[in-house]
Order: sequence, then C-alpha cells, then structure tokens
Amino acid sequence: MSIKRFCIRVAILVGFSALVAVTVNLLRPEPIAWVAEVPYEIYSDCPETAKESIALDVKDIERERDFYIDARGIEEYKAGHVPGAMLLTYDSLFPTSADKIKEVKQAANGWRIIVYGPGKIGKLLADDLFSQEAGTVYYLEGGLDAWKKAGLPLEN
Amino acid sequence: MWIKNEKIKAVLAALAIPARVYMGIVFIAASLFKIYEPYQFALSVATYQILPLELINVQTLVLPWLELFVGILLILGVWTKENAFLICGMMVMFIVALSIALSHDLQMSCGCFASQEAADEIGMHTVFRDLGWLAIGAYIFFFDDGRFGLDRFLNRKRRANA
Repeated sequence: MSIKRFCIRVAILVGFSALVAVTVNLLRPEPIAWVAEVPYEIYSDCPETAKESIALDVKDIERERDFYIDARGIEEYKAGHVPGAMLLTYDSLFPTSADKIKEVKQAANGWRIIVYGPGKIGKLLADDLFSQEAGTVYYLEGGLDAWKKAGLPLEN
Repeated sequence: MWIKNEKIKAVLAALAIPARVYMGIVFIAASLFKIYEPYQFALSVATYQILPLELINVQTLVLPWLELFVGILLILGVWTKENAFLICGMMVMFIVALSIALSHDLQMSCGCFASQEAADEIGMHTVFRDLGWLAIGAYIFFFDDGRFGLDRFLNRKRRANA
C-alpha cells in the first residue's frame, strides 16, 4: 500500500471524526465551547495522606463491640446497611467536619470504628477519620459486598 | 511484509481477528462515556495538567468520536492498518500522559472509561495495561493483511474497477 493512500485514509478518519464531533456538539442542548475560556477546577488528592486506617477482613469482625460507618450515599444506605451503622457519606472534596468527628466519637463510645463503602471510598473515609483522631478506625475489605457474602444481616 | 511463508502469514493474520475485535470493543467502550459525559471527560483531560486550556475541549470533543469509529472499523476490518496505526498513536499519547501524571504524583483516575470519581486511581498497572494494548495495536498493524475483514472485499472491488 502506498504511504500517500495510507496518510489520506488516516486524515479522512480524523477529519470525519472531527466533523461528527462538530455536528453532535451543535445538536447538544448546551454545546461545549471549542476553546475553554475559564480554567477547569481540577482536583487531585494530595499525595501526602496523613494516617492510614487498618484493613479488616469480614472474618475478623466482632459485631458486639464494633461501630459501623456507611460511607455511601443516602439512597444506597436506605436500600440496606449494616445494622446500627451511621451514615456518613464520603466527600472527596472536603474532610469530615469537626462536628461530625465529635458525633462519631460519641456514637462509637470507645468501640472500634469500621467504615465500609464502594471501592476505595470506605478506606478514604476511614483514613480521614483516623487522621482526625476519631478513634481506632478500620475499613472493611470488600465493603458491603463482603458483608453480604459472609451471610451477615442487613437493616433497611 | 517480511514473512515470506504464506501459511505463517495466514496464521498471524487469523490471530489478528480476536485482537481486532478485542481492541475494537475496548475503544468503543472507552468512547461511550466520553461522548455521553463530555464535561466529565474535559475535567479528566484537564486534571492531567498537560494540555493548554485552549486544546482541552478540542481533544474532549474529537477524541471520543475517533475512538468510536476506529473501534467499529477495526471490528469490521475496514482500513485495518490505518485504524491500527491510529490506535497505536492514541496509546502512545495515553502512555505519555499517564507517565507525566505519575511523575507528578497526581492521584487521579485515568479518565479512560469513566469519570474521575468513578474510576480507579492511576498507577503503574495503568501504564502496563496501555503498553499491552499498544502491543496488540502494533500486532494488528504488522500482521493483519486484510484477508479476514471487509478490506479483502474492498481491495478486490478496487482491483476489479482498475
């Protein structure tokens, strides 16, 4: 195959994609400006996290002396959560407020705190709580899925 | 191609079929979120802190469609070499971007398949994944000679017309 034809085809592919992009963007209810004028408010976690919470396997839980925190959203919480768990939705943009930390401390009453959430969310909130000295904070490996797989009860 | 043996060439070309389908699916899957959520994708692009502000939206709007068409055409086997070349180009671009982000200790998701919040954090595993995809793209480029795709029919038709 000639290089010329190869280059023409590549240019056609890129050009056609650009053409479709222009057309679809025009059809959007709110088209995006081709040149952004205002810088994006980007957010990237600080590399230096303070204190790291401890991973806890579902086999190692002691339900009588554990205080649970649900790091998910309210809808997921309503659909089913660990009995007695406190809802504390994780927000990556803001650390947990001092008032919330106080509330967690009082509710946990010296028991170990176990945080669960989807993916890394549980660990991130647990790290945040541990860094702010809310108590001895663990995160549940595998989140609520691990809890369900272990056949443990849920509360609605 | 430098391989002269027709049987080996045919086997290598046949092995490129699953590679083409796989990469096609990967690229189509990667394009959908970006087309559906352009603002989220723009945020992902901006988070890399590589492109100047003037180019972020251009890439945000054009790249997903290129990924989609390349993915579809790769599965169909149309202009396979050109599409494999574009895949390799895009993979090189992604690997460079990821490497720069990692060198700056940015804790972020790659923005490849989902938004910043939904996806896993980038790491060396992401770079190795992309290197793997680059290798698959290169395999298709070098060993798919179009005999198992629509290219075969297009070439035959062109020859007949000539």
